Amino acid sequence: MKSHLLLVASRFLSWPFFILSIWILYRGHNLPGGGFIGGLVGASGFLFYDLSGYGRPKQGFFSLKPFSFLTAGLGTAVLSGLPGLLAGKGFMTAFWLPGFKLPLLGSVHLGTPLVFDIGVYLTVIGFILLLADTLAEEEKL
Amino acid sequence: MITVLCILIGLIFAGATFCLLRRSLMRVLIGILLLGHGVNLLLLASSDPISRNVAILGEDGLPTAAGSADPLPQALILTAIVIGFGLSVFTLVLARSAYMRGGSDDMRELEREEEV
Amino acid sequence: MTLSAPILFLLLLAVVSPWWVARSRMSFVVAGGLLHLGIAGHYILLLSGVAGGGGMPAENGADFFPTDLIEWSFLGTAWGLMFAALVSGIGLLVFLYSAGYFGATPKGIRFFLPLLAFEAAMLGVVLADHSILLFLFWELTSISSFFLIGFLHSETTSRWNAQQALLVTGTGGMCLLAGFLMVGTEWGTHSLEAWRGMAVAGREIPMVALALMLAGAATKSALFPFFFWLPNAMSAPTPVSSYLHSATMVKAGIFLIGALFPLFASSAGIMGVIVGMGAATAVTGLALGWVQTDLKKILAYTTLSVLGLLAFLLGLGTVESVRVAVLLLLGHACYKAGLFMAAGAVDKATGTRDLRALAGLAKAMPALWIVCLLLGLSAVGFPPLLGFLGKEYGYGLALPNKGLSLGLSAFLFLANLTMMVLILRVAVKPFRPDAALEAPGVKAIPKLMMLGPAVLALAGVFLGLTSPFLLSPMVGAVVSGIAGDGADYKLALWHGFKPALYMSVATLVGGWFLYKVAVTYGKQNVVTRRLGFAENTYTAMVKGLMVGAAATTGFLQSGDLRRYLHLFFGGILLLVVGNWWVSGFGVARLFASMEPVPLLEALLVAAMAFGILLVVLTMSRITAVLGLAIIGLGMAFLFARLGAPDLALTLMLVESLTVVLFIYIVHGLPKIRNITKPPGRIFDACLSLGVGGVMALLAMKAQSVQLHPSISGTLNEWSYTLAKGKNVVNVILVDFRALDTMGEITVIALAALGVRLVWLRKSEMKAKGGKP
Repeated sequence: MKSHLLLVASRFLSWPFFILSIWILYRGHNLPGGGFIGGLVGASGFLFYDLSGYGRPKQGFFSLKPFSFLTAGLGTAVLSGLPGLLAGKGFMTAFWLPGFKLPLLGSVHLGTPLVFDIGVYLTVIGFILLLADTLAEEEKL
Repeated sequence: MITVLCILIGLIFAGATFCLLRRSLMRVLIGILLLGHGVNLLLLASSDPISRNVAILGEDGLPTAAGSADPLPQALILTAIVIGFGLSVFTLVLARSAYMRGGSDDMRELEREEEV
Repeated sequence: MTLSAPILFLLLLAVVSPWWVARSRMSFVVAGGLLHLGIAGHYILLLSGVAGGGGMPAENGADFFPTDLIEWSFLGTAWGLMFAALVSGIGLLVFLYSAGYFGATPKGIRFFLPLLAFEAAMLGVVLADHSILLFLFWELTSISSFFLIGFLHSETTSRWNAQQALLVTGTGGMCLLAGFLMVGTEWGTHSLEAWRGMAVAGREIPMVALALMLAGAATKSALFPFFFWLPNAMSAPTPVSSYLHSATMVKAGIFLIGALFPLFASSAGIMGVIVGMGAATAVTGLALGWVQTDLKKILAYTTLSVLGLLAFLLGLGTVESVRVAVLLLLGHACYKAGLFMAAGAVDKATGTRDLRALAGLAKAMPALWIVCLLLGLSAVGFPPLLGFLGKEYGYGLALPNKGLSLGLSAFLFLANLTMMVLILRVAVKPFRPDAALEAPGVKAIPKLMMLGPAVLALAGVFLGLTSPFLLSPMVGAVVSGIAGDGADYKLALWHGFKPALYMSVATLVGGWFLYKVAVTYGKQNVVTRRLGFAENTYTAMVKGLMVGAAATTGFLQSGDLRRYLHLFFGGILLLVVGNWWVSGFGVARLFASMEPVPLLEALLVAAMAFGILLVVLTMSRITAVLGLAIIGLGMAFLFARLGAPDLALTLMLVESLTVVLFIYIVHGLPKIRNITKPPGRIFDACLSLGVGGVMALLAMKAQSVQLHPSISGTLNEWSYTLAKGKNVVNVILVDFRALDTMGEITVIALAALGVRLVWLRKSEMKAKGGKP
């Protein structure tokens, strides 16, 4: 079942979903949201392509492979723990940049926990994508 | 509310146990999924206090109202939900592969095949 | 380190021995011999120090080995040092004898490891002052003797016998440990010296603990009815037999009875049991030894009867009887080790140990004949040899009651008489100079193998002659260390014309006569067959254990998921409900905090209950998925209502995915069936309701239980000040407990890999054209 309509729609919908997921990821530290939910929403950006029946694009961001996300996610998470280790304070001790103000975002705090949450986010996306890919390929068997 | 919550926990566990005890593969899978819900709810019931106020601090970084919900069980449940999802997916796929290879949905038959 | 250093040296030598022997046997023998010489001399010096009235050398290495339960503490009691001297002294001779016995064979390379480990362990047993430390060494003797007895591991009987020795002494060891722990817990200390002091002061000891410790001693020293493992242990190479059965392994039990004498002596009943076991063992050993024809077996059975006599004498509990036991033990250690080595030499030279095939060896091996004669004379108690003392003093024993004294004398007389016949059969019969040479063949034996018996024979003569001067202070110190008195007693070889002398003479004459008359042996009789019961019981128990284990495993590990879950859930129900039954549940507080439930939530819960009913009862897969979706979304709403928006969002997304997934792969899954018959279903339903009920009650009970102060308040407090986040749940996940989350995403990645692998396997099979 291939649908041109869905293919077109997915091109338009994927990016908004993806940006939404990043927004959820970012605000998770202060409001409901975070890496898990963000990851689940972000993965749906990819899944729209699967629904169209034509598969994901051959190039561009949405052609990334699930394993890239998994490794990037786990790697980012581990990296976020290293500053604490290097500072001799124990793995995963949090470090923060000084806060600053931005238009729209208000006061911004950047630190290793956010980096870690990005790792979680990427891993969850990788997981869902791998799952979807596996099942889709199985269908073809 | 807590009493109702406890009764619900009991119901879910009873249902999950019954499903797990079936010999039909499908029911066992359902039982596994159900059991995850029961455990999550059990964690929530251990909150102190159980409250309707969200565990999110106010603008000033202080709890908005006295007695906001216990954040710790929530963090545990969130972890449990995601891990539970990952594992139930794996279980489903594994079960299907076992069924397709073994050709039986009877747990006892599946065991026997394992031995052969 | 004065006491424990030799133990460590021996262990070190044991560990390096295989390499050393393989590289250079000569240098190993010389170095090992010198080490033994030094150790034996060291302990003899310490012993003479204690015997001369000096204090007991003690060693407390709390810093060296700091744990709560075990302390590296040693104490050189006179009794322990006497054993240490015997163990290391005879150890020296056995060490050299083994070097000769095995020569440059591959067996000789691996033999010294267990032998030296055993020796070190034995020294540890007799010198340790901490009961748990003693137990550790005790077990090490059991284990190393297992390897020694089973040394010829290619033979089935050898393995079986080694296992038997290990099982019997190991079981006893467990009893011993239990006894030690009981006394140690009850009395608040594990020091044996403190125990002795407290027992003398009249402190009460749990009877069970005494019985357990006695069981440990009785199994180790092969007392009735555990005697059967000892003769079977003769399947070991001769050096092992001569070591294990003279001064060491089998004497460990006797040592323990002596070391804990005040504890045992506090109970007349236990002492009575020791006396009874001892007497029964003595009689058993002689009765079974009577029909043997194998030199080593005969010696083993006489060892058994001597062990019985030792236990018997210690059990009598008077200062005099303890003195007799000490003398008997000393004499026995010397002559029995020598006789075993001599028997091994005969075996090596002629190729047989069968009594009936040997005669007139005196001409072919004159030196061995003289040695054997001396050892034999000591064994039968010929004055003025060392063995004479024990026998003579035994006849001098008197009990408060005249009739009992007479009975005791008669018992000792008969035992000595029979034992003499057995000893003569081993020490004289094969050599008899008046008979013609009868043997399958006579080869020369290595010189090192002659050294041990010769030294021990001479020691018997020397120690016997000098006993009034050399042995008196030592025996006095040992006896007073055990029984609390008799330190100043002077030993003498001549006591004047008294009944004891007449009985000694009568024993010698009667024994010789009996030996001449009773020449038929090798036939089983009624008595020996009856005594087989002990070993038969053992065999039956071992077999029963196997059958029982198979049955239990078959029942518990059936491979049936339902069986496992039945046991699991049933066990939970029994334990939890049983606990409530006993300790009470406290229902009163349960409904104290009831509050009205909003209608919306009530409806939500009702819908979820309906969903549960749906998934449990439906036969349609799609309906089941629907039910699951209802429950999952209900959960999400519940989370939203209860102040957990993060959970609600996550669960909503996850549930949608699960449902999609389920529908996606449901066509590959089987239909729902009812396989179990209705009675089974009803049983399961009852069990499930029970489990559900218990879980509900547990959840309620948990409301009123707070084992530790809640940390959530602190988390709330820190969330913004330390972690700069207002969503506390997220802060916990990515900051406070980030490592947990790290583990979680790893699990997620692994689950993804697992799914992928299952798929890969399938596509592989598909590619091969097989069934997916």
